[in-house]
Amino acid sequence: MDTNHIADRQVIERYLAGQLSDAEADAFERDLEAHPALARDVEQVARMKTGFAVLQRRGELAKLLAQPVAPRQRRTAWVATAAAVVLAVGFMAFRPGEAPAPATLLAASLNALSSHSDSPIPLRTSVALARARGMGADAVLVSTGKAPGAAELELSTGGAAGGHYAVELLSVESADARPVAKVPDAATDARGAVHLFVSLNALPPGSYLLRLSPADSGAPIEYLIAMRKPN
Amino acid sequence: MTSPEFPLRKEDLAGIRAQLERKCGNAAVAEDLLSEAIETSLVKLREGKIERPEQMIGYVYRVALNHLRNFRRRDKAGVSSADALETLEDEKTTDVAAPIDHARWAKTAMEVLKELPATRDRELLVSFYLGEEEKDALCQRLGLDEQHFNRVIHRARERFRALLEGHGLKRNDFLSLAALLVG
Repeated sequence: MDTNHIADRQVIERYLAGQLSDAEADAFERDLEAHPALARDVEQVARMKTGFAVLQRRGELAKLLAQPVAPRQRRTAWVATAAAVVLAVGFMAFRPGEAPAPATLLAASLNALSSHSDSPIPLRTSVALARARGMGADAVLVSTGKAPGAAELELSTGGAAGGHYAVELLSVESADARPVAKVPDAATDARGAVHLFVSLNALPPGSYLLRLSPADSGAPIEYLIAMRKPN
Repeated sequence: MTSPEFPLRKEDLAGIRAQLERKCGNAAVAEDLLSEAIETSLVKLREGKIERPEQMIGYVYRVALNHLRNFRRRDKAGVSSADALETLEDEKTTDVAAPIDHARWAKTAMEVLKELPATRDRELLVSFYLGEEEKDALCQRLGLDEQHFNRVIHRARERFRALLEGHGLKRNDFLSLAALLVG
């Protein structure tokens, strides 16, 4: 079994749940010995299962499961955020003598990404993502260091053309996901994909979650992006 | 028992020990099984039956998981009752750090659940990890396709990992431990 197969088919979870056949379980145990890194994943799944078990024992699960999400509030929050961004941009634009605006990290077009740059940012790479992979990042980008550069991301939504999404880029390096950039409204193309442009020089190396929240308050779509240091 | 050459810390096996404890229903027995897994692996290593030293942790897990599998087999054969044994009582554990670990994992699991906006996705996680429902049945019951299922599970695991790492457990801990501290 390769590691993608193990992740895509949730082999570890099924092993711990006793759902594998004897032959599959034997094969997995052999893999575990040959690939010690798998032990980390086993340990993590075991901890997760224990975490849920403790929540159940404390009687906290039912409340967590029933917790409703207020989609309208989320939309309101996005509108408020968008308004705040517009106000902030306007405020900065009319304040002469201030420090230069920080580079744009994420935008819906290459022009928008270049808006705070002296010259147009060159497109270095294009990545199309059709679905989330089973393990690791969905896309690995390589920073261009100080040299300006952008990557185009074509993100499949599985939705129709003309759909609208609020996009948020979150750093997942620390315990709390920290928003680092937002695009309040990105529309899907004829194939239902959203196109975004990421700065390869301004976005620091690390792990990021790209969350696309549909305007109709449906479930968000997420992609994991890894930014590597320059080669 | 210590050996400076090969990396393994007992606390890194806390998750698998908790699973063993759930299955056998006795913290002391779980501890013994884990110690036995480590002992067996050390003997194999010293006998040269484990090719590379870094494979030792994989071997320990292999032996420990095999114990877990044997408990499941006994359950299926009616030797013991899984319903009666599926408990997790921190108070009875022999490891003083376990209640703290378990509380931390529960907090992390709670954070992962809270971050999921869709009730259906939260139910998916709990039913899969805790209820141990099979994937196909779960997809059918919740009206999900496989792609969505895979995505939710993948994200949850990534978030759980990131949150735990934020609390001190690093990805490399399992691969670059510097000393063997067993017992």
